[in-house]
Amino acid sequence: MTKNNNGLILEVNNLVVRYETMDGIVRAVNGIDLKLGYKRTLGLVGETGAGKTTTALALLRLVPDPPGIVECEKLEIDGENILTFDSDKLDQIRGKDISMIFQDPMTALNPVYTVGEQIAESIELHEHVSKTEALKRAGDMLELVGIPRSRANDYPHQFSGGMKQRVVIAIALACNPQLLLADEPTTALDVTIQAQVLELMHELKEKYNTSMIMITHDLGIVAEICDEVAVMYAGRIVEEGTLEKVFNHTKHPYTEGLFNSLPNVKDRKAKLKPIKGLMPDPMDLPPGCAFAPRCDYATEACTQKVPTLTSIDEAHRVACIRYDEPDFHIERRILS
Amino acid sequence: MYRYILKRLLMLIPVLLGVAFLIFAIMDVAAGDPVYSIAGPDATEEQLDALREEMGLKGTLLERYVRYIGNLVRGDLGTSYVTKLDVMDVYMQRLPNTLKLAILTMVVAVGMAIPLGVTAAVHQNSIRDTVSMVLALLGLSMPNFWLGLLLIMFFSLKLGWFPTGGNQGFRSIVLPAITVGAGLAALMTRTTRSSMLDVIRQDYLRTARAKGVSEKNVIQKHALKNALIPIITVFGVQFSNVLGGSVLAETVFAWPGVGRLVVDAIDQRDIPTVTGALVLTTMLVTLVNLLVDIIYAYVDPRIKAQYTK
Repeated sequence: MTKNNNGLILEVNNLVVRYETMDGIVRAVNGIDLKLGYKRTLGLVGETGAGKTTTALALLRLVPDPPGIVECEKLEIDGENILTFDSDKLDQIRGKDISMIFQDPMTALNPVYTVGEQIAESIELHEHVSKTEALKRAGDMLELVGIPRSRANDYPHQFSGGMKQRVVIAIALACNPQLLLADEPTTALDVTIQAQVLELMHELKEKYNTSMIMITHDLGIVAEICDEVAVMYAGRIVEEGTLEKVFNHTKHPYTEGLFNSLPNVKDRKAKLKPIKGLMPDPMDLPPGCAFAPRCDYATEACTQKVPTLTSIDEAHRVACIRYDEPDFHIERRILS
Repeated sequence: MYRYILKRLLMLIPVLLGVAFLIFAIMDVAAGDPVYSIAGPDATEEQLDALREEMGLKGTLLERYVRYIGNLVRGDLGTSYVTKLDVMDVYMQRLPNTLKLAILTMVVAVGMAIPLGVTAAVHQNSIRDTVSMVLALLGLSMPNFWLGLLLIMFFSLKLGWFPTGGNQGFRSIVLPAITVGAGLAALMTRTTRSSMLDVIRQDYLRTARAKGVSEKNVIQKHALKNALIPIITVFGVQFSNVLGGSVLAETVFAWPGVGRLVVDAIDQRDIPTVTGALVLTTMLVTLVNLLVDIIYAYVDPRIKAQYTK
C-alpha cells in the first residue's frame, strides 16, 4: 500500500472525548491535534486529570463506550485512517502497529495466566506462530527486559512491582510496534527502579526504531527521553514544541507553573512554588482559557474566549491570548 | 499440592465422626424406642428386651455409637427396621439414580447460568440484562414442584416427548433435571453476573484489548476465568444439595433417588436407614467440598500458592 502520510507515524486532528455519565458530561479531551514523526518521542505532560490517558486510549480506540464518546476529524496511524476500521481490523493493529504500556503494573496483568502466556498471546495473535514458538519468543522478550526466561511460568503475583512493569513493557514490545504509547510507565515504581525502567525503554526504542508518546507529569523524564513536548491542561494542549523550545523558552503560564513547582536542587532553602488552586472539574470547565482562574497573568479577556494554539516560530506553539500583546512575557528564569 | 489433598482427606475422618455422632444423637432423641412399634402392642417386657438385644439397642448412646462406627468402618450400616434389607445395599442401589440426576441437573444449571450471567454483565443495564435477571428471578421464586408439574403437563401429557415419571432411561431424567436445574441456575446466574461485573472493569482486560485480543476472547478467556471462583463456590454448594436428593422433584417425577429414600425412612421411623443414608451423603458432600477446593487451585494460581505454603 502506498502511504500518504507526510513522514508521520501519527496524525490526529481535533480529537474530542467526553464521558456521558449520570452526573453530567465529563469533557476529558477537548479538541487536540497531534503530529508525530517516525522514531520521534513526544512527551505528553500535564497534571492528573488533564486527559492524557484518555488521549492515549482514544488513539487505540479503547475508550470504553458507554460512557465514552470519541469524535475526531482525522486519526491516522502510519498513513492509515483507523477511524474507518471495524473491530476485527482494530484487533489486528492493536499490539502490532500500536501498543500501550499501562500506568499501574499491579493491575495491568491478568492474575490467572503466567507472564509467559500473557506475552505469548500477543505474539501468537499477530505473528501467527504456534503456541510453542510464541512461548519461546515470550522467553526472549523477558530476557530483553531483564527477567530470566525461567520465570516465564510464574504468575504476576510472584513478581515485584518493577518486575511487573517490565513484563507490561515486554507485552507492549512483543511485536515490535511502530508506535508505543507509554502511560506514566514509571509512576507506580520506586525511584531507583524508575531510572532502570526508563533506561530500558530508551534502549529498546533505539533498538527497534519505535516512535513513542511518553505520557507523564514528570518533567525530568521528559527532559531525559523526549524530542518534543506537548503540555496538556483540562483536555487541551496549551503549549507544544521541541524539547529545547518548551524547556528553555517557555511561553505558557501553566508550563511556567509546572517548572516553578519543581524543587530547586541548587537552592534547597527556597520554598516550592506550587500552582495555586486546583485543576477545574472537567464536568464544569470555566469559560475561556481553562487555566485563567489559576493564572497570575490572567486578564478579563482570558475568560472571554478559548485561546487557540498560535505559532511562535516553526517549532513552538502556545495557546495564550496574552501573546497578542507584543511586549508580553512571563517571568520564568531560564535555568541553564 | 498433593500434600494438601492428603491433609484434607485425613481431615475428613474427624468431620465424618462428628457428623455421624450428631445424626446418631438426633435420631436417638427424636425417634423414641423403636421396639414398641416393631414388636406390636401385645409384646411382653421380656420380648421387648430380647428384641432390643437383637437389634443392638442395648447400652448407652456412646456405647451404641462406638459399635455403630465399628460396623461402619467394615461397611456395615445395619438393616432396615421396615424392609429388613441391608441399608448399604439399598443406598447403593439408589445412589446411581441420584448421581445421574445431580450431574445432569448441574449441567442444566451451568449451561443456563453462565451464558445468561455473562451476557447480563457484558450488556449491563441493557434489555438483555433485564431479561436475564427477570428469568433468574422467575427461577428463584417459582416453586420447584410447580415448575415440574407444568413441564409434565406440557412435555409429557401434551407433546408426549418425555415420560411423566419413573426411571426409564435417559429420557426420564430430562424433565426432573430441568426442574431442579432451573431453580439452581437462578442463583448461579446472579452470582455469575455480579462476579463478571467485578472483573469486567479491571485494568488487565484493557491490557488484553490493547494487545489485540478480540472482544469475545477478552470476555471468555480473560474475564470469565477470573470471575469463576464465586461461581464454583455456588456450584459446590448446589451440587452438594442435589447429592442429598431433591425430594420434591423426586416425588413429582416418581424418581427413585436418595432423597425419597430418606424421607420415606423418616416417615417409617426406620432409624438405621435414615442414619446410614445421612452418613453416606455427608461423606459425598465433604468429598465434593474437597473437589471444589482443588478446582479453586487450578483456576486461581494465587489460591494454589496458599495451599502449598
